[in-house]
This record gives sequence, C-alpha cells and structure tokens, in this order.
Amino acid sequence: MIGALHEPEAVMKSLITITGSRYDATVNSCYAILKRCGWTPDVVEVFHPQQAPFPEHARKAAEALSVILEDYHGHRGYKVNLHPFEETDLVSYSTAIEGIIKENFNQRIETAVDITCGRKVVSGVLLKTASVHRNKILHIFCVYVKAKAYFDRWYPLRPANSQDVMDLMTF
Amino acid sequence: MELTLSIAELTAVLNDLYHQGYPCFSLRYPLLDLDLATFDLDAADTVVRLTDRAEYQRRFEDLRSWFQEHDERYAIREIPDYTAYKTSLLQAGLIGYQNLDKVKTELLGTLTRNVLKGHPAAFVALDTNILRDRFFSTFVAQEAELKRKPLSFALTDIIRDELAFTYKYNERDLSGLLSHPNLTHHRHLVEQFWNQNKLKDRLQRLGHLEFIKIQSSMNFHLCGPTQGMDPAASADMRIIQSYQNFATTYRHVLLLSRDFDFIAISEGRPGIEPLMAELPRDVLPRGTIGWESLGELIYIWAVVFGCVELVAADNRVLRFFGLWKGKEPTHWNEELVGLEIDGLNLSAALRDIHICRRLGAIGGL
Repeated sequence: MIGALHEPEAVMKSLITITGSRYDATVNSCYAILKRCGWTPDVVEVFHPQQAPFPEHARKAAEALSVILEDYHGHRGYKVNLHPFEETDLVSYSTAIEGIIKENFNQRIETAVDITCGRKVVSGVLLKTASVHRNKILHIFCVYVKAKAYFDRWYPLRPANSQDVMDLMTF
Repeated sequence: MELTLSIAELTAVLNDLYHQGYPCFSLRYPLLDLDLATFDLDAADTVVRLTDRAEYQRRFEDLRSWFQEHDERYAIREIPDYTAYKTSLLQAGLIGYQNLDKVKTELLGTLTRNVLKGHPAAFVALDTNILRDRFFSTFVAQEAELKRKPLSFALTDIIRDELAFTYKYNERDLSGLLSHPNLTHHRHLVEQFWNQNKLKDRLQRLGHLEFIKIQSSMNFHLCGPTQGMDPAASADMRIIQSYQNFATTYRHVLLLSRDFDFIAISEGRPGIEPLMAELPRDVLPRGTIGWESLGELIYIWAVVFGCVELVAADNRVLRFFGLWKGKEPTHWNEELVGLEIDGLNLSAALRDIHICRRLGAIGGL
C-alpha cells in the first residue's frame, strides 16, 4: 500500500467583493453567483469606502450575507470580513486586494472576485488587480442585470431571465 | 394551509420550475376540468395560450344545466363564467383597455397642470368598475412615468360602500357545489372555501383592496357623502355628485369609468372630465407576457376561481389557493396565495423564500 486514501478535503472558497451606494446590490450579486454558478464562498471579503454612509452599507451587507451563508453552509461555518479603504488612495486599496489574493493562493483557497458593485473606479481597480493576478484567481464574476424593474427585490424573487452571471475568466 | 406566498415569492417558484426543466405547464381550473391557459417560460418572455372561448362556455353550460336540473341553481353562481375569465385577464394585467394609450395620455396630462400658473389642481377619480379591474395595480403602479411623478387621486366613500363584501360560503353552499358527480372528488379543494368570500364578494374585495392601495398613495383625497342628496338617487348619481362637489372648489377631476351610462351622466358637469375606459373587444388566443405578469395572473386566478392547479408536463401538480380555511384580512391585504405541493420538488424555491423573508426581517429591500 503506497498511501492511505483520504477523503479529499473540501476546498475553501473566498469571494472578494465591493459595496457601494446600494448594499443590497452586493448581497444580490453574491446570491446570484451562489445560485447560478453553484459557487458558495466560505469567506466573503467586502471592500468599502471608509467615508459615510459606506461603512453602514457594508455592515448591512455583511449581516445580509451572513443570513444567506448561514443557510447554505449549515455547520461548516463562514466568515464575512469588512475592509474599509480610502477612495483617494486606490494604490493601498489595490495592495490590500493583492494581499488577500496572494494569501489565499498560498493557503490553497480558491479565490473569485465580483466586480458588479461599487463605483466604476473602485470596481475597475478590483478588475485590474484580479487581472494582474489571474493565475491565482478562479473567477471574475459580473452580474449583468437585463431588467431594472426588479431592483427592489432580492435575487431569488427576480425572474430568472432578468439577469445573467458572467465569468470574465472564460472570455 | 401548508404555505402562503406573496406575488413576488411566486417568482421564486417559477424560477425553480424553470431551472428544474419544467418550462411548460398549464394552469387548470379543477372544477371545470379545464386548462385556463398553457405557458412556455422562455429566456425572453413567457408564451401564453389561452383557453378556447367555445370550450370554456361548453363546459360552463354543461355544469349550469346540471345544477338547474338538480335545483342547485345557486351553485352555478360560484363558477366564474367566460366574462369573469376575460375580466380576470384584465385584473391580472394580461390585457389592457382598448384605448389604453388615450387613457395614459390623459392621466399624464393631469400631471402637466401647474397650480402655480393658475391651473386648478388635477385629480384622477375612478368609478367602482375601474377599481374592480385593478387598474391601479396593473397599470398605474407599473408605469415608469407615473412612478416618477405620482398622480393625485380622489375617491368617494360611496365607492367603498359599493365594494362591501359580506357573503361567505356555508356548509350548504359547499355541499351544493359538491353535489355534481364530477365535482365530488374535489371535496378537499372545495372544503377550503368554507367561511370565505363568495365569488361576487371576492371580486368586490379585489376592488376594495385597490381602494386601500390608492388611499395610501401619496396624493389622495377622500370625498365624503354629499349633503342633501336624494337617498333614492342611484349609486352612479351619488358617486358623480360627490366628485362634482369636490371639483367645485377649483379642482379638475378626470373621471375614469368603463360604464357608458356613467360617462354619459358625468358629461357637461363643471370641473369633471369623464373618460371612458373601453373593454378589449377580443382576447387574442396566444401572446407573450413577462414572468412578473404570470405571478399576478396566478394570484388573480387563485382568488377568482378559488383554486387553480399548475400542471407540469409530467402531470405533477402545484395547487394555488385564493381561498383557504382561516384566510384572514391580512392575507388579503398582502395579496397572498396558499400553496399545496403535489409531487413537485420545490425545496430550492422554499429555501430561497425562507432566506428572503429573513433578509426582509433584518430591514432589507
């Protein structure tokens, strides 16, 4: 016998996301990824600008994400981490993202980023940083909303044909 | 009732069916053993095929003649006829008034009046039939332009009185329905109707709910009963008089009705601009609707027909109840349907609905 056969350990998954003027957009985007792609993160890293009202939005997003992840993970556990950043210092913001991507890679944690939410420049930096480290990233998700009529609803209560989840890594 | 769902939550059920590979299904009225429509959920819109008018009427007439022969003539009143079916399509927003464009233009026209430039304040007033049609829910509340600039409404108390609902099913009514040999095996459905509103009252109640919705909208004025009005005057006269009194204090009232006589009586009265909402002449047998409209349709049909069954291609069934034992006013106000699952697996939808309710509870959308 060469070696004992072990059950393969479930791979940890980490999602890096942003929250902007609407916290529910961050939550819905994560929910869409989880439902459509079957990719359920164990850790969600939520970046948000540190000036008001974004910390409050991020706190609400974390609370709502916890409700979803608690249901999907059951006893396995999950974590939502908040990362405030200064909007005028995008280099530090990019460095912080880079740090998480590298750390996850070293610890063999699958990493995906979600660029759906946040201001253009903020999601742009996230996309750029993820692109630079694309060999350490599994997915770059973007939720494409086709009908804006359902903005006041949580993801599962929107018609399935009203939005798509795209993985830019497949392009 | 196993589970009650809002119209929005019905979307989660439809999504689940779609993802499970049930894009095609029919909605069946079990008491006539008739498919009211078949649906094909598509990536774009839903293709809907409505039941054939002749077939509907044939089954209805069969039932009517049996009930008459067996001295159960009241029972047939509880089976919606083809006119009620057609009206239900209007109530669900599947079809609109024939002159909807004109109605929309006139409604938007009230928004261009400016009191600061000396125009009289403009209000939209409605006749009872427009409330029963759910015009506010299916058109006004959905129209993007009217969402941005809400209309001002005036409704009279007399209309609220007209929309009273007091008649409920008792044991005798239900046994009358179940006396038909083809209906006896639907006992478990019909028994859910006990102590719930009869058909005519359900239609009244839909109108009453509209009254409440409009009342809670931003710019609303409640017109009281008219002093010195002849109590023997017709309801139409009293409604028009109430609106006219409201209009005398430098107001402009756009009065919408789909009753020719009501419109005729309203004409030429100062401050009142009557507008006829024309019923659609024909219902196209096939068309496309958004997924959202499908949820509205399920709700309306559940209420109008009491119960409708969603029958999937493999004959698995979901039952949607508009009436059920213990249905309360809050269930009406929240426009809930009862759900009974018969064979289909809705665990994903139910899980999502549970999560959404928890998200709502923490102060969500």
